Amino acid sequence: MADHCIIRVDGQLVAATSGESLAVALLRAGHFRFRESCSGQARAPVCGMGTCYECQVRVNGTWVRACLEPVRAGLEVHTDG
Amino acid sequence: MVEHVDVAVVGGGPAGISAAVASAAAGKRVCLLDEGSRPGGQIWRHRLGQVPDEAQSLLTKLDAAAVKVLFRASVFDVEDRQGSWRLTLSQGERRVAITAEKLVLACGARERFLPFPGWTLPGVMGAGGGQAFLKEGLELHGERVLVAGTGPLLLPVAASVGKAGGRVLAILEQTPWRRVLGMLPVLLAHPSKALQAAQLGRSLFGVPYRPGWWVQEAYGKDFLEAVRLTDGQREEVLECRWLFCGFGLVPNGELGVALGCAGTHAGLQVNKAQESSVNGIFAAGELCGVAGVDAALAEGAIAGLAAAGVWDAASVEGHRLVKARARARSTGRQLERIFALRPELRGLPRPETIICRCEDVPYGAIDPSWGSRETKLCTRAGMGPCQGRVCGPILIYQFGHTPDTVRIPYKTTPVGQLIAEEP
Ligand SMILES: Cc1cc2nc3c(=O)[nH]c(=O)nc-3n(C[C@H](O)[C@H](O)[C@H](O)COP(=O)(O)OP(=O)(O)OC[C@H]3O[C@@H](n4cnc5c(N)ncnc54)[C@H](O)[C@@H]3O)c2cc1C
Ligand code: FES
Repeated sequence: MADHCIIRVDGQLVAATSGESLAVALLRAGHFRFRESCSGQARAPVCGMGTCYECQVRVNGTWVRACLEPVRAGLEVHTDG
Repeated sequence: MVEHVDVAVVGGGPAGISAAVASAAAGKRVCLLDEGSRPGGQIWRHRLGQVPDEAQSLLTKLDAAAVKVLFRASVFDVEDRQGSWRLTLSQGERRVAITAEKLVLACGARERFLPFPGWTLPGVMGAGGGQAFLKEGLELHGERVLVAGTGPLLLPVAASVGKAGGRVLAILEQTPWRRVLGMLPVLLAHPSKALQAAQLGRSLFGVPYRPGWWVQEAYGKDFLEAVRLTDGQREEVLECRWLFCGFGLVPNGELGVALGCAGTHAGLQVNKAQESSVNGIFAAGELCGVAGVDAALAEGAIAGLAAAGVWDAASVEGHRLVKARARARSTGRQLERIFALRPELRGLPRPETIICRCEDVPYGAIDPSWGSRETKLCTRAGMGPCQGRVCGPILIYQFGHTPDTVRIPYKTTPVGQLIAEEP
């Protein structure tokens, strides 16, 4: 059964499903600027499997790869968006 | 405390699961490690609770077997302890150590990306990458999607786009028609694959499949807006929201190479019992060269039995596995020839096109006369968090570089864990 929960992304509440990939939850909520590259370009997920590091965001203060991070209720997520 | 097992398996895709199940059935203490948060590797991903049918029986066996499974565990160091191996892994905030008598490497493969102007725009992702997100619940609400690159994977990706509510504008396959037709004998030799292809064909009814076409440039401001495509003579511009583009797979051989196993960037070398050139290290699946899930399953079982010391090629099961492996490997080699990359793709990047996405190194900053070391030292290409896993294969394709030696840690690891006391 889908287990809905709420996470906070850049201060805004976003509905997601517990256990799903954080990258999918962010894309669904319309976040397309996950990180800013060192020359200031917007970057979003590419590989979907933990290889490219383009999906990095901060969760509760630490950098994680959003595609490998399962959603849990109450996650505090910061993107570079 | 350091846990000790007989067999440690790195990678929980079809190859790794199959190896772990086989070793455990032979009575060994087995540990299976994977970076992800569920078993199944790149192919068996699914939204919570929905296990794909073809994976069900193996996953049930894994559940029933006495295998210790660690998820979200990135193996970042392996040390030779004279007769055993000591693995260090980072698991969230924790650092864990395991020692094992034998190692089975089943790290799979990653997608190959090639650079073209605009490929770093949000909205451009891998074909397999897109597939991964679609299987995990990305919805597309009628959005326009272009699927491009090369290989048989493009077809199931396009089918998933349709299922997720997206509109596939076309599938651009860089290989020309006359080579794509080389698939026919492969399909005829594998009735089950022909059936899958027919089912795929039906779900893709009305989607233009365009061999001999490739993407030249992606346009957009903050997000992808349009794509320019070509067949070398004609050009077209298509408006689209997403581009799922991948150019086949590259084996994740880094860990094995760093441990001294013989092999190239095309895969680790193994003998008939799936043992690498290093005693006690076995390898199976996509890591030994790209050949699909059937090769992974057969090789995983052989590696698991061999690591447990009970591999017998002359047994009934042994015969079956050897035959399955030979068949799958031969198909893999045929597909590799059919979907070989065309030389025109090398001409796509412009001087300002980014090659290393981690360090934003543009194409124009790389002197074609440099080798891989010089390129790294002079530009920082390959020095970012992905450690060259994306730009490494690009540099090999673009400039003929030989792969650089592998550094420890194999995986980007929190600094605190690298300098932590021995656990
Ligand atoms: C993005 C992507 C999507 C794909 N989609 C499809 C598809 O839809 N249909 C299809 O038929 N084929 C697909 N394939 C091909 C398919 O992956 C292979 O045919 C098959 O899964 C190979 O199995 P394997 O066990 O060798 O490797 P994999 O399934 O790749 O499993 C390898 C596992 O090792 C883990 N790993 C690697 N390094 C480490 C480390 N250092 N520490 C811990 N864990 C590690 C990875 O997390 C991964 O789970 C896809 C491939 C990719 C790359
Ligand atoms: S999308 Fe590549 S690491 Fe997450």
